[in-house]
Amino acid sequence: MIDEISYPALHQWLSTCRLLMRYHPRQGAEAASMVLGQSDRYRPGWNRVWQGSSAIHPELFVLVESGSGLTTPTLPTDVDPEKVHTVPDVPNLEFTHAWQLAQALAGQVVDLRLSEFPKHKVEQVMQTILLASKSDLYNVDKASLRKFVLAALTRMETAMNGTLNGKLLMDDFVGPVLDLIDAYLSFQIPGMVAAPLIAGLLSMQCNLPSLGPPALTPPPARKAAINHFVKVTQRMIQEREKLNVGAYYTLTYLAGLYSRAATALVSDALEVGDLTPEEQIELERIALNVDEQAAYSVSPAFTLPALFSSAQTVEWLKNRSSIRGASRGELSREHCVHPGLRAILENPIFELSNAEQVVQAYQAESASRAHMDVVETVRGQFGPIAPENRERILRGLVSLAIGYRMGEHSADDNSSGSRNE
Amino acid sequence: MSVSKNSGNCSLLHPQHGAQKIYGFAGDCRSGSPLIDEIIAELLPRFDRATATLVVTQDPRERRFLLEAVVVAVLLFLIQRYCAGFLKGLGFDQMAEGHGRKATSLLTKIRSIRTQGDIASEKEETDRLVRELRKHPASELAKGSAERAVVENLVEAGATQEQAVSAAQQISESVASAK
Repeated sequence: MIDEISYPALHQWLSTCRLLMRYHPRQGAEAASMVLGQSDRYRPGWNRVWQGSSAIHPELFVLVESGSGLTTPTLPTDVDPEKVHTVPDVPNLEFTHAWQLAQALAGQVVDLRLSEFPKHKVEQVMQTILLASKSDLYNVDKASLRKFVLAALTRMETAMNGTLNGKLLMDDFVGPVLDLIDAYLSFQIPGMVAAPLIAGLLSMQCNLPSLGPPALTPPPARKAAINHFVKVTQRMIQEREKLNVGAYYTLTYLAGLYSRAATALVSDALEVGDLTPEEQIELERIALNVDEQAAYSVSPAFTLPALFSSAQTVEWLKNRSSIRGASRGELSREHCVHPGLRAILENPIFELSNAEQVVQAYQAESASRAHMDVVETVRGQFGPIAPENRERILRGLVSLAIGYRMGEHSADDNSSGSRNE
Repeated sequence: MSVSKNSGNCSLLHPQHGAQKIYGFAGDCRSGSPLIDEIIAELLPRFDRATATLVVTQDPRERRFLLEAVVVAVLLFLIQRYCAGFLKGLGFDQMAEGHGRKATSLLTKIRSIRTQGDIASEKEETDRLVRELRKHPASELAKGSAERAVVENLVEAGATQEQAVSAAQQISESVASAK
C-alpha cells in the first residue's frame, strides 16, 4: 500500500476529501474559509446560530472575543437579544475555494493513473461530496437514514437466523457497522450521516433478539458504547503520533467519526430520558470531553494539508508564527500538523529549503514512521464495538442458538422465520 | 507566556532527560525567575486542552475556546491540588486541607471568569507551595497521594481514568524535574 505523501497531489486531494466529508461538505469548506480569513459570518460579540428545529438546542449562542470564544445554548441574561448577530447560512459548496481546489486536485490525481485511484473512483467521490453538500446542514435526512438502517437490519436478521440454525454468525451480525465505517473512510458517506447511523446500529445490536430501536437499548450497553468510543478516540489520537502521513490522517479521520458517534449516543440517551440528574450530568460531561478532544485534535487536522502543499504549509506556519507571536511548535500543534512536517518546521536546517527539498524531507520523515492499515484496525484494536457489548451480543446469539436446539424458543424461531420470508 | 524552560543555564541539567528525582533536595538555580514558570513552561505545550476545558467548564452544555492564560490557571489549580495531595500523603493533614481550600477557591475564580483572569497572585501562591513541598523528603507514598488528588478532580470533571492519570503523571514529572 502506498503512503499518500509519495504523491503530493494525492495527499492534498485526500485531505480535501477528509475536510469535506468529516461532517458535512459545506461545514468543511467553511472551516477552510475561516483559516484563510475569508469568512465573515461571525462578528465580534454575541452571535446566534440556528441549529434546526430537531436539534436538542435549536439555537446556539457564540461569543467571539479577541483570541477566545464561548458557545452556549443559553444567552446570558445581561445580553440584549436584539443586539445578537444572526449568523448567515454557509454558502453553497460550488462557490467555495475548498471545492474548487478539490476539483483541480482530483484532475491531478486522475493524471497520476494510480491503480488504487482510477478515474471512475475519483469522479464518484467528487459526485458523492457534491451530493452530500446539498443536504441540510443541521438535520440528517431521515429517509436516507431509514434506508441504511433497514438494509443493515436485514443483514443482522439474516445472521441471527443463521445462528438459530446452528451457526454462530457473529461477524455477519456486526458486519453492517464495519461496512458503514468503510464507507465513511472511502468517502461514500459523510460523517454527519455515518455517526448517528453507527450510534443507532450499535444500540440495536444489543437488543437481541428483537433488534428494536435505540430507545430500547439497556442503559449499561449504551454507556459501554459511549465510554468505548471516548477511550478509543483518545488512544487513536495518541497512537497517530508514531505513524506515517497516510495512516496519521486516516486515523485522525476515523477518530472524528468515533467522537461524533459518541456524542450521538449521548444525545440518544438524553432523548430517551429516564436518567437521574447525576447520570445526565455525567453523560453531558462525557460528551463535553469527547467534543473537546475532537475540537483540539481532529477538526483542525485536515485544513492546512487540504489548502496547501507541504512547502506552502511550512511557509504559512512561519508567517503566522511571526504575525501571532506564537512559536512554530505551538502553531503546528494547534493545527495538528503531522509530526514529520512539524520536525521540518522546527529544524533550522530547512530554514532556506526550497519546495522540492521540503517535500523530499517530509516524504523521508513519513517513511521513517510506522504504517498502519486503518481499515484493518477497525476490525481489531480500534473496533467500534465495546468489549462488554461484544460479549453481550455473543451471549445473546449463543442463547438464541441453544434455545432453538432445546426447543425453548419456538416463538422466536417462528418470528425469525417470518422475517426471513 | 513569556517563560521558557530553556532560560538559564540550569536548563542544561534538566532532569527530565536524566534519572534524578527531585523532592526535597533541589535548590532553585534560577535567580529572579519563579520555579513555577519553569513548571508551567514544561507543561503548557503538552497538556491536553480538552482536559483543561473540562476543569474550566461548569455547565457541560457550554463549549469554550480557552485562552492560554486560562490554561495556565487550570495548571496552577491542578498543581495546587497535587501539592495538597502530596502534603496529605506525608501526613500533614491540616496543612493539606488549607491548601486544598485555596485550590478550590482558585477553581471558583477560574470558572467565574468568562475568558481571562488575573493569575499573578495565584502563580506566586503556587510557587510558594511547590517550594514548600520540595523541602520535604522524597516519598513515593506522598507522590501517589498527590497524583490521586489530581486524578480524582479530573475524573469528577468528566475525564477518563487514562486521561486523568496521564495528566497527573505529567504534573508529577514537571514538579519533580523543575530546577
